[in-house]
Amino acid sequence: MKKSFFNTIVCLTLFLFALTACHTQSSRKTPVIRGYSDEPLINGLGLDMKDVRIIPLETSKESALSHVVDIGFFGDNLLVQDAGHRLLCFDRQGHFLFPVGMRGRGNGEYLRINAFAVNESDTTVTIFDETSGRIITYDAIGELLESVRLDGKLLYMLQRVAPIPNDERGDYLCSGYVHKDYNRIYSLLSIKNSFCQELQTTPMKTRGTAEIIGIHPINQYGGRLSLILPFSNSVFEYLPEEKKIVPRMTVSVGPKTKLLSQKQISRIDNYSIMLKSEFMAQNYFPGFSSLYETNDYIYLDMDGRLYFLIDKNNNTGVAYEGYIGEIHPDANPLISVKLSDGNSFVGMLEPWRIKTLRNQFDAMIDCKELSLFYKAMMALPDSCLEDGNNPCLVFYQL
Amino acid sequence: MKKKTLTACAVVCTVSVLGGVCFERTKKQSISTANLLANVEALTETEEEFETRRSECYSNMEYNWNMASICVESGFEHVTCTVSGKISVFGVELSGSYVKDHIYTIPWARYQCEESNGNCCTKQGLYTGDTKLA
Repeated sequence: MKKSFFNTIVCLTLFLFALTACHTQSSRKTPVIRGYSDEPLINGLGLDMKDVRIIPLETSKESALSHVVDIGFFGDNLLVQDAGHRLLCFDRQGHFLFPVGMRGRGNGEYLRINAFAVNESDTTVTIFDETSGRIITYDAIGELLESVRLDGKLLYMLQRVAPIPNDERGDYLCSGYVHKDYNRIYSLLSIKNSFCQELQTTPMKTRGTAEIIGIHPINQYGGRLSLILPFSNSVFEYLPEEKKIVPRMTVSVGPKTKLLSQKQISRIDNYSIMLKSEFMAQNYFPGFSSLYETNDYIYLDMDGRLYFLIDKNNNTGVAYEGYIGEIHPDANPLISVKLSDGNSFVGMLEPWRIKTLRNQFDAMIDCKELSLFYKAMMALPDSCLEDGNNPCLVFYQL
Repeated sequence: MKKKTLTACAVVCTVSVLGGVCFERTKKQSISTANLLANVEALTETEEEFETRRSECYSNMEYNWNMASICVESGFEHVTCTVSGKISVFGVELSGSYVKDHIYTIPWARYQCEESNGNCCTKQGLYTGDTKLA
């Protein structure tokens, strides 16, 4: 009797431990997306694109852009962050509307724009300035609403910011640069509590430069914050209630591509795109560099070399070349994607790039009517493509 | 006897669940503590080391002290070699063992100097490796 009692206890204990482990495992189970290991297709080949619109951004003395760092929707308008520390508002037809705030040391002015975030209501925009420690909020017409000063250290090496959906406290999810030993790549910034909580670090280091883990590493869509991690083949999401970053889906990279181990990543002391290139040459997976989401698709950029397009409806993916090597009449290429909304990806093309593509396409007169992308490109007036003009926005509706 | 078995089972259940939860928490805490320690370690620098870095930065005319090289954009450019041994990336000619008609994928990064106390900006502009393109 005693023996059977003892056996029961042991079995029960083992069963419960197994159950606990299974619970942890199952809560982290993520869908596996296949298709990456197939040979990449010509950019946009066979993509069922419903519309392509190319809209030049107005070029004037006030709106001339040096280099675009980031863009974002702002209600019916668009915000463009320039490398010259300006945030400019354009309408969706490309007309320049107004600058948001200005550089300076006065009230409501910033010294540098690390990042900006359009808040959930879509009616206010907040600029984050590490140099002055200021977090400044403006309304829909660019008028100052509020300026808060925090310890600049809280904003150290801040790269991109996204408001936490449905969050009454108004906290932000932030991505950061990897800079020498500074390795905080995701954090939670609470302005109300003047607090920045570390969420995710990387063991990698850099040799003096501040390196990005991606151009657009955080994407907010449908109340969900998705993100990428360096050298990872997974898409992650931030769970606000648990303050945790968990895998959302994993891309199967196939047998020919190797994944870097944590040990290998921790040995990296010179992280940059140059190092990624070296790993790629050895068949290692370099990770995703940007993430964009629409109603039906997730676009995972790989530094412009490739992109992996996931169809959310059936959890399948297709890898495409990220550049235009061969002009194909049936291809509607997605190039330089920088933004997404409900059903469109938005790209940005410099005039010289469009001119080059037009010249390439001119050689294929027979195919001119076939692709929406090339049709839209050919329809652009030459005056929009003069040297020194602002880039054009390309709305790809899938 | 049944009562005793049930009590024992209940105790085992509670202990197992609590054990599991504690294990998970300790694991998480130890990771975040390790990360925090790594950061603290990274921030500690002797005055001598700081001075060395500063003077090294000042000694190079192209470097900027109290600024950091921030990568604002990076990517790969696909270029076709039209003349053997040479390729042109963003209008800048690079020499190497390039083969005519081959397509090369060249990594590039654009750096900008930004204010940052105690840092040295060593790169500004468009680079591939250590070669400045523009």
